[in-house]
Amino acid sequence: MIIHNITNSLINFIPEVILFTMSMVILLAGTFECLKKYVFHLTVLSVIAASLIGINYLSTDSHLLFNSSLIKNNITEFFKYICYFIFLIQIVISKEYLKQNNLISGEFYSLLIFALLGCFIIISANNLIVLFLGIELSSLSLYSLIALNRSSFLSSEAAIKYFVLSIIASAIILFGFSYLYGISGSINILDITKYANNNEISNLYLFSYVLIFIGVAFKFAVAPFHMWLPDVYEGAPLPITNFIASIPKIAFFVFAFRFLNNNPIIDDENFSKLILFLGMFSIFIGNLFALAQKKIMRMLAYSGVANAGFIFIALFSALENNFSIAAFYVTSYSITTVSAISIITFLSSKKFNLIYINDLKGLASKSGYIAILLMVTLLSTAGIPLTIGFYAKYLVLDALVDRNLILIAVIVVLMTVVGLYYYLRVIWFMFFETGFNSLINTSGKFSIIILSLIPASILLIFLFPDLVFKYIFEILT
Amino acid sequence: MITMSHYLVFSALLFCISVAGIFINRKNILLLLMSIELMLLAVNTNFIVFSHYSNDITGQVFVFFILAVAAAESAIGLAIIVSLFRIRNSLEINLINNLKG
Repeated sequence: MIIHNITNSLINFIPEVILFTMSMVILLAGTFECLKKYVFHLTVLSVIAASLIGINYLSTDSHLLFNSSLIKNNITEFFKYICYFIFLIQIVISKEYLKQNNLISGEFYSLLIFALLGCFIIISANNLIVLFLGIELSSLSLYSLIALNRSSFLSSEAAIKYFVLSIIASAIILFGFSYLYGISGSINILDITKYANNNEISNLYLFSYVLIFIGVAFKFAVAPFHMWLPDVYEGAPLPITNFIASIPKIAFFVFAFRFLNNNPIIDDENFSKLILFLGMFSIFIGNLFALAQKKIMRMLAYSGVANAGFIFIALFSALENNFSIAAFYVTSYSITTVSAISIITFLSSKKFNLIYINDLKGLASKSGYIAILLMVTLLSTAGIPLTIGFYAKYLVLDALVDRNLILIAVIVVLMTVVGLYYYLRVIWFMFFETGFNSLINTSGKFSIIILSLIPASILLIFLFPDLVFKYIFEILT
Repeated sequence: MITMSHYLVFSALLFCISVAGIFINRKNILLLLMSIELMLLAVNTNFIVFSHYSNDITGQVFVFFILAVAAAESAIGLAIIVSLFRIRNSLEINLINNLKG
């Protein structure tokens, strides 16, 4: 019986098993001189193989695996496939940049796959221990990835900052877990939810949730806890920034979803006020600080802070356990931010590293197509109509108005208008200034085709938003 | 008589001390690592207390996982500190301020 359970669980968990084995193989291949040049191909191959084999085992009903410590259902699989998509784009685009900076090695790709694996475990965890191990697996690999460029002072500095703040976040989350375990006597998240539904919410329960969500706010970089994000964006190698900006956000959204789903805490007045405060504060700080930035990655970091605030407001407005708006927002934001950072990675994959917004001037005169791709992406992050970002922001505001919080909705709209300024400034530099720096890379047909995938889907989803939104709505309710 | 609440207050205090240690400390990065370790130990105390008083072994199993992860974390932290020291020749926190906008 036990053996049957384990084999059954393993079969359902086969994509992760493949990723784990392949990351070991890649680490080993990196040490052989003759296999060294194939690590990139091996990585792409293993991620594609894992995603394709995973399709075979998709099913519509939910499974509990490994003695109910992992969960597998439509929600987890949907987010995992978005992660696969994002991850593939990231590694294909970043190859030239890595070659330029001498970062291609077995351990780089191996650690990157481990970070992806950690995020997958966070997505499907149903047990506090497994959840903790997933968080640590992804963040431990990310610390070393940030510091991998050993000759760069900025990378080491970004790594130490990320290291300290990320561990503080993990420890705060763990502290919350310990109280949760003490109150409910179980480490199974479904049991904890059941306990909360059968008993009145005590102060200690509320306290543990506050601790857990402060930790989540650290990981999302929501405003009072956002200090590490701009530094990491600036200091880390661009492909790693690309990873940090997108995939852990999806993973931690599912984490938040798992803790709030069907839980009466969502209707608790104090708790929802905390979430709302964090969201509003983050929108303020993010948009105002982004105005003053001269470096493009720092600007994107502060825009990320503002968008994380939107995610928290969407969580707050999740009336009647409907998290589909927040899920749609997370999906749209992570896809657009990956597109923006990928384009910057592509532009700086020759001899010149793109750092200042100034460096983009005259891009349209050299390569109008790339300028248009970047423009579509930035407008989507800003929430301009004709892009997916507009639809996502509209849904959040609509939910706020439905809850009769019109004042808050108005403030959010005003701050978004403030935010428009710094996106438009980049577009201004690209289209209306002259003096293009010829060291910036604009060639590479294959990369440009890959880069146009996301802006194309951004525009397409705006035309048919119901296709995606209805699907998300279906799986989350 | 030492009751459960004494232990809980003790671990909460330990946690607060370690958080204060991280934010007040302006001198040495190594002290940061120690504070982080203390933070995780406070969590461990909590788990052991709950596990002992509710006669449930899972809490203590959790502690083993936390200890193992804490060891891995310090190893990586020390590695980062070594690479920082090689470039900078100093471990002062005040000097780590090259990243700004």
